[in-house]
This record gives sequence, structure tokens and C-alpha cells, in this order.
Amino acid sequence: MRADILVFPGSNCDVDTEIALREALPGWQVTRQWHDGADLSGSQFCVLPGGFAHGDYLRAGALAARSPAIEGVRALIARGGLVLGICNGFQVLVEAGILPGAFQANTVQHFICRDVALRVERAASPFLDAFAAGDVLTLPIAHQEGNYRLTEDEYRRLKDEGRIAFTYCGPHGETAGDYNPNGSYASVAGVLAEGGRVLGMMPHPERAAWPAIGRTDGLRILAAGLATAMQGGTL
Amino acid sequence: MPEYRAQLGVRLRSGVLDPAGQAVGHALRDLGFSARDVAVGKLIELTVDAASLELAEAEVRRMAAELLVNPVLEDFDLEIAPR
Repeated sequence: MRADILVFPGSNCDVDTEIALREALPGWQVTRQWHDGADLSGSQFCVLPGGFAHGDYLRAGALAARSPAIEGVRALIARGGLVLGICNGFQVLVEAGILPGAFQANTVQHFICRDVALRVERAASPFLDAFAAGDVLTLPIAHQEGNYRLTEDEYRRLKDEGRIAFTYCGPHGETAGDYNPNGSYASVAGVLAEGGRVLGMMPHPERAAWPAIGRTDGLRILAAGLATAMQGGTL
Repeated sequence: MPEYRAQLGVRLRSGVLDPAGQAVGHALRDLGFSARDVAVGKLIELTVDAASLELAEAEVRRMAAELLVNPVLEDFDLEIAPR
């Protein structure tokens, strides 16, 4: 089994992601692949890491989303592979049209880097197998443009289809009150593509993968993907 | 093949929150100006080769649709002329 991290010029969370995946996926081959010439044909799981792909010129994720490497990501999705977009990787998946919506600058008008509480909204995804709906996780966010915009119709559809993965919440899962760090529509922090095998999320699971730093919720997200992929048999 | 120079003015659609415009507006008011409704957009200039002005414009509009403008959030105006 192989997990690949797609690296663009400006990606900066790829090494952290590689280390976390090695921890989460014992026995897997984990590689970082440079976007130019990337070959995902032998891959079961691709992560688009955080950073500022292609400098985030034009719009966050816009240029990476149109790069040839994304065709390999689409092919992986088409054959039932797992794809995880973290932070800038989420922005890339949205710009590519693989996930709905759009991103804007945080309403607070500055970069935010801190832990947030997240409520698991739906567990019907390989990435969320370790959790029940309503569980509260703690993961860090680090972004300037994390204000995830959905139309009301898009939000309704995602909700009806069980594709909202995470919402920002208070320490006990409460959404009333001021727990939305960046202005995202309905506090949405992560969404799934149809079928639940593609997850985009603004928080960084790879930065919460170490008992030594007191945070392991991210490791559970990364490892859950493995368990189901192994069982699925489609890969 | 004739050359055409295009200018796309890209702006956030009305009703879309503009944090950059708000920040610039605050800064202008701090300087004592009476500026309000400040909006920050971007200007994209490029040259294309095309057989006619119509074809050049069609090409630039395809560029806008495929990459340059995010229709979820943005609108644009296009000016294009022979170079």
C-alpha cells in the first residue's frame, strides 16, 4: 500500500505530513512526489499538503488546481482511492472543482494560528471511521484564507448528503457562541466528496499526531483512512 | 497574426464580504480620509495572438472562465484592443 504526498512549489507541510503518515500507516510506503512528473498510478492514498502552492498567486490553490498533477488525483479518485486535502490542499481541491465552494480571507483580516475545537458531523467516511458524529477533536489551524464560502443551497445539499465532515465548535461541541474562527459559512471546517473518500479540511491533522506534544486527534484521522482502505478491497 | 492587449479588472461580486477592502478602508479613515465602500480587486493584463478582435475576446473570456476569475466570488470587466 502506498500513500503519496503531492508537493508543489510553496508546499510547506509536506515533511510533517510524511512523518505523521509514517506513524499512522505502519507498513505503508510513504513518498513525497514533486508535482511535475508525479505518478500516482501505484498509489492508494494521496495527500495534498498545506502551504502556499505556486505562491497562492491569483487565488489560494488556483494555479495548483490546474496543474497536470491534479489529473492524477482525479484518476485516483475515479478508481476509488483516498484523497485528503489539508489547508492549502483543501483550497486546491475546491479550486479544482473536486469539492464545492470557494475560499476568502478570514473575516478577522489576519493570519490565524491556534488550536480549535472541531465537532465531527458525520462518520460515514474512511477518514472518520474512528469517530462518532458529535465527537469533539482538537486540531490546530494556520491560515489567512480559511473563510469557506458555500451558498445556502450548496450547504443544504452537503448537509442532506452527509458530506459536512467537521464544524468549528466550542470545547464541548457547542456551536452557539463565537467559535467560528474565520467566518466560514455555517462554521464548516471540512467537507467530503460524494462517497466520503475525498476529504478537504482546513485544520492540520499532521500537526496533532504526537503524544509528546499532547495532541493525537490528527493521527486518528490519518490512521482511520488506512484501516478502511485495507478492508475495502477496491484498492 | 495580429496581437491584442487585454485588461481584466477582477472584483468581488457585490454582496461578497471583502476583508481586504475593509482593512484598507479602516486605514484610510485612520489617516483622516472619508473613504467608504472601499473594494480591493486585481488587474490582469495580457497579450494574445488572434485572427480578429472577436476571436481574441473569446479566447480571453475562456481564460477568465478556466482560470483567471472564480465565478463563485468574482466578476470582471474586460477591455481589449489591437496592440
